[in-house]
Amino acid sequence: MSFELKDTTKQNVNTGKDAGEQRNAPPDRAGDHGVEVPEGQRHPKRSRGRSRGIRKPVPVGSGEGNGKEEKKESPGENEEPVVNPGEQKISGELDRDVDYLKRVFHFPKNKDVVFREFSIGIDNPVRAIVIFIDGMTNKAVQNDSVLQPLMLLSRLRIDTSKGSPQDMVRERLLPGNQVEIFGEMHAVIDGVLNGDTAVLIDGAHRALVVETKGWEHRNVDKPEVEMVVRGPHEAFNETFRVNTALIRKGFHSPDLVTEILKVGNKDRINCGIMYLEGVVNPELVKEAKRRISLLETDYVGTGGILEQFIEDRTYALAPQVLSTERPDRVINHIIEGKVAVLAEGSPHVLVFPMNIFGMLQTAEDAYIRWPYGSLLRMLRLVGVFLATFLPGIYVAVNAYHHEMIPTDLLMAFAGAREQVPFPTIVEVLIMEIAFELIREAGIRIPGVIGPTLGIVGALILGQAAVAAKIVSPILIVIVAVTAIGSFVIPNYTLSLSIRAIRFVYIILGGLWGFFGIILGFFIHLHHLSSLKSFGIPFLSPLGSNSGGGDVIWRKPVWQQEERPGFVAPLRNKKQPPLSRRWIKRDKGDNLNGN
Amino acid sequence: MAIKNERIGPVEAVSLAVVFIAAKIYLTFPALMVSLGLSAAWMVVLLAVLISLPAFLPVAVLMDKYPGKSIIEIGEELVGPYLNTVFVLGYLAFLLAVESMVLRQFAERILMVSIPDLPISMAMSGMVLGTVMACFFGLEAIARSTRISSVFIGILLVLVLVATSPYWSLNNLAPIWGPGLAEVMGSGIMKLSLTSEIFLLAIIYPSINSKGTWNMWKLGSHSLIIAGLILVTTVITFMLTFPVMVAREISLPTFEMARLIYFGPFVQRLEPVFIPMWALAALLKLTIGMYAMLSLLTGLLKLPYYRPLILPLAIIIISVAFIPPNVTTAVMIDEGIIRTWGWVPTFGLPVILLAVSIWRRKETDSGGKKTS
Amino acid sequence: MVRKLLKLQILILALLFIPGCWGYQEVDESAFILALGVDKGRENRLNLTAQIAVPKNIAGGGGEGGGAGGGGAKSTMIVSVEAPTILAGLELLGSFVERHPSLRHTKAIVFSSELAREDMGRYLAPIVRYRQFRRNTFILISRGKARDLVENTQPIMEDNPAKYIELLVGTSKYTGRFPISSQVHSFYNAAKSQAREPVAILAAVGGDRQEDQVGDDKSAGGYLAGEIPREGGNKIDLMGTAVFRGGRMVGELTGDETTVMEMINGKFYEGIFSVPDPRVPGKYILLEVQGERKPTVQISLEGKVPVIDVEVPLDAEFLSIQSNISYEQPGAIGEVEDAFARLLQEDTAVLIRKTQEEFRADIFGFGEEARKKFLTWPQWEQYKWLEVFPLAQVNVEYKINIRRIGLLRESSPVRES
Repeated sequence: MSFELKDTTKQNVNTGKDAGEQRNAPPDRAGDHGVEVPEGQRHPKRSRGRSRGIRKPVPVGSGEGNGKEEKKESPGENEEPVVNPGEQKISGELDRDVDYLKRVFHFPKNKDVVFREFSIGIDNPVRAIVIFIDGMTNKAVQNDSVLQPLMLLSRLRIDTSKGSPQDMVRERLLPGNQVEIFGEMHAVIDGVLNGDTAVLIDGAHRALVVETKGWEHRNVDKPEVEMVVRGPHEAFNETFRVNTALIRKGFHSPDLVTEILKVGNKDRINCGIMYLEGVVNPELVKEAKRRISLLETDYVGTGGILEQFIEDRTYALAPQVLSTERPDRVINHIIEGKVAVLAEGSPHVLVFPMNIFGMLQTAEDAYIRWPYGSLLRMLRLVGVFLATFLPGIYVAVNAYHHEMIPTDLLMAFAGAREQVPFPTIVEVLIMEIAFELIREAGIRIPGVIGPTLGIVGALILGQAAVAAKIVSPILIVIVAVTAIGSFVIPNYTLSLSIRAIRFVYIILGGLWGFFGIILGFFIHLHHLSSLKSFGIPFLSPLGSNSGGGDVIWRKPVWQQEERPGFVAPLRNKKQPPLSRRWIKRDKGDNLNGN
Repeated sequence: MAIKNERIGPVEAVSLAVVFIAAKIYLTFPALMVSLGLSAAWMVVLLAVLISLPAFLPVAVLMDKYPGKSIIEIGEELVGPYLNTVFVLGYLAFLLAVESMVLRQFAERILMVSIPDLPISMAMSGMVLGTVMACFFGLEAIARSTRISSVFIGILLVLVLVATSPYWSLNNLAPIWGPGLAEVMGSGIMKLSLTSEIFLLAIIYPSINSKGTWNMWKLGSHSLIIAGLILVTTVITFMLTFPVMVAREISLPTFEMARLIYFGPFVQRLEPVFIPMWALAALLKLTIGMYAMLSLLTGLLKLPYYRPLILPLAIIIISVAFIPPNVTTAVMIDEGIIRTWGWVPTFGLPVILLAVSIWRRKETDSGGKKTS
Repeated sequence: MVRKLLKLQILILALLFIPGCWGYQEVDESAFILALGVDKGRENRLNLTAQIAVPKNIAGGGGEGGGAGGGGAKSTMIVSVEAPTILAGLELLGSFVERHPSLRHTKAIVFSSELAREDMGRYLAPIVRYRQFRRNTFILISRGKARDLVENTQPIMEDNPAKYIELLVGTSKYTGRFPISSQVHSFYNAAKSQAREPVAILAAVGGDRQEDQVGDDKSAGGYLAGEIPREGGNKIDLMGTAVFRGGRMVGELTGDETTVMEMINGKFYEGIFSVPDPRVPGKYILLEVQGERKPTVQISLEGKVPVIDVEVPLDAEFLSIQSNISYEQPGAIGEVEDAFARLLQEDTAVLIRKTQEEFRADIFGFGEEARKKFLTWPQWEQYKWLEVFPLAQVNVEYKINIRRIGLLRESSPVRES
């Protein structure tokens, strides 16, 4: 069970390039170097703010020195040149600081930011100002925990003689459950942008940032695409903290670590990396953090875009990270030694490293009794096979390999084809494209009937086409079976890639018959074999490693003792050999042990 | 030498070697054996395989003496660059002959049975294109794909062999000694080159991540035994299905066997189901062979990477493949020349190298110093 | 770098596609020949009759006019040409059949016995080289003209003549009255072998033949194809065997003789026999017989002539006892078994005599057993088994075991009133 995270020098280049490309136009193949990422800027060492992790705050202000921040994409900034907040420290003079902040936030043009000035109610009233973004804060908490104590209750508690004002304020007056003190402007700005409330006190060299996040968000809802029959029905939603909580509550362990990084240039969203300390391979975590923190782009909106930024090979035909909206799946993978990445604003969590079999598994396989999970998986494999190859095989058989069909069936084919004007490959392409159109349209039909209408509509359309003698009826069956096969693929991205590849196989089948399909399969197989997802081969454990008893054929739950070897976890066994200790009965019992 | 970073496991190396050797069952090989050995054809094959084991021993010993080095480097150390170039050219010639004849035969045969109207140039270009693209993906991808496909191919092969059992007749194996015991022995020994593709292991040995327990001999012997098993089983099944007089006429034994499968009105006509098996085996063999040649070339010319060489080599292979004017000549070359003399570069030259190495060692040992 | 070269290759590949694709043939551009008949021709050497499927009538014509016979659409089309060889004839079809003839689904190839007696091997054997031709096509020898046979392959119960042919040929499994393995594969193997001679199914157009001898108690299998007294149904009969020596037909066997031949060959599955009642002449006992195990053959080549001993085990079951005598009792069973064995021995004697004296052909494959006694091929070839066989002494013994008795455990006579 050896595991090597290969030095990803090769992939490194792509990451840099991709980030560069994403900057301007939509990904454009023709211009590999359409954007000149300034030399030497490829991998700037930039800290992305301080982490909010419970355990490991990254030291603030480290890695400064790249004052040459790319400010060139700042249209409309033709007022005063904005000072790089990375270096600015809080001066202590309230007015100067406030002026500076107002400039940074484009106040008063920008009506989102609120500057609320007040005085702390002590004997010598000290001016202070509270800065927050309207709509992102929890007003009740703000009023109760910040404004009220500072303005009203301070008289009771404060004693300016002992220690600095801000320490006093923090220790005595602010009952918020997370209060941090910072000396640099950018920390204040980050905090405000995150929904916290910043408190600047006249005369204090440091500012306080109180945790008051509270914005409107969706409730924890059912999963949209990953339904199970037996199993929890919770899904992630768009709020970072809700997601981390969902994962945490499913697995109580102090070893579950969440590191928070910030991603992006202008939009610096929070991005959390969760893993099980002591089990996960530290190289993996290092690599993950490295990839995320070295991204240079404006907007990494959601998990989907983040995935595209950190995956190994963009041009590969299969996704290399798993994206799921179910907390229980994420927990399972974390326990096996994988890493989960949560992005703010995205109800999908990325899990890596992932192999192709992980994409074909659903949460349900684990919750139902022993053989059924495996049987369902095999069924899914059949579905994948059908979705990819069936139309191609149909074309190949009709065009070249008549001897393969039993004579009865052949007569049926030929009889049906008598009335159809198109050659087989054309009618297959027509029907497949029509079906894809209907599917895409079905997503936008409002309401619950959308997808159902799509499929039914497709079949009716097919029926009408048959009656009009445009296509043969057998083809409708084939197209329907193909579509159903592609629906059983649990991973949406993978099913998309299969849908796309199907067309290649159709064309190959039409040109070269079975041989063409095999040629395509050969190249496809090699392509998949060479894919790596964060250092592990994509087709693991088909290669050489062990899969931990849960690849296609699932062993019974009490037999799955090992973690999958290809993740190279630090601790291999997750169960002792005898996990059902109730099997052993005491000597006195003479019932049949079961 | 190929990309240094690429590492494959021992099981994958064995599967590479097995596919490389055994893919010939999908060509005319079984029928040729029946021509040679009549009803004792299987004995000829068995004998050839058994002899190849001791023939491989010198290669294994040689490679293990210099761990981590490929046969080119070893040769260079032992006999000097000029003579070594000649040796390497010998290996290359063998591989090139095998590759191009296999390409030609597979293209002609497989397309003959499934898509008869495809022009031969298209077929060969198509196969070479697939091979070229696969080579681009590197040894690891090739090895992994081979390992995965070999399971699939193996299952289908077993199916074909078993499904012809209604037609089996043990009497086809009589008379036991075929043309005569002496002749059988002679043919068996002559056909040693049947397994000379095992030389592949000598070329890719540095890339095999053996972790100590799998030395060259273990790798080689496992591959030879498994491949030999496949060869012998196929020939035996072929002989059980077709009597000698008929069997020797057949162009494509495995195809005809697949065609015969008839279990009632529905389960018949299954041969297109087996086309993937043949095509995959053919493509894999071509890819592995091409990779081996690239390894040799980059080692010989001291190039740091091999990918730029892929296209030119492909063109060379296709050109050589077109040399025989018809498929019979191609088969003759394959059978007569390669399989009769192929043991010279693949088993013979390493023996020479081993002899030199032992002689050298004796020299330096007696001189008191140990140079390796 | 990798991508660029990939793009380059895809470009090159795309260029190669410009001429179009090759060999793309839709299913509705092929004329599928379901049965091929080969006769001696008048103007040319061969007369080929091809039964070409008309798919739209097979597929769609199920509902309409199926049973009407006359007005309904025919599911096949029969064409004939004269040509020097079979494949040349197929090509000639191209002049008036608008689709490319395809032998991929040919189920049966029929030779007329006239042609077969001349030299069928000459026409049949080489065609195996043709890619479209499959070795599991059935061979039928027609007692009349092959053309008549092919024309009359008009199934009533099936839409698809191919299915009809397959089913019809498959009935030998439960009657045994014509050879089971009459595929090109076995014929070809036997024709090239020095250890056995080939056989083929005998077929003819029948159904309205008048039986010459009326009232003669002939056993159910004692006919040749075309002589069966029957009316109605499909027009083709299959019964009996055509015996070949090499590629040349030398004689015919009746249905009963064929059954015995199959028993000795070990290819007999099951069949129904009417055994004359040993105690009551004129009445029959019906047995369903199954060949459970293969017969054992022992050959001794010591003496001047080879001595062949065959032991054929058979299992039987009582189907009906016309005389209602209680033969199920253990003592009486033996009588029936002996009677059956005697019946079989009669046919066997005729069969052996025919094959050894008239045909001089070893259709049983004893040669393959004999071959095991030789060590090398040249020795075997020298022995020339096929010439020696007619002199051999063949002893066949039937071991009959009546195991089951059906639903009645004992019989009692029907009251005669």
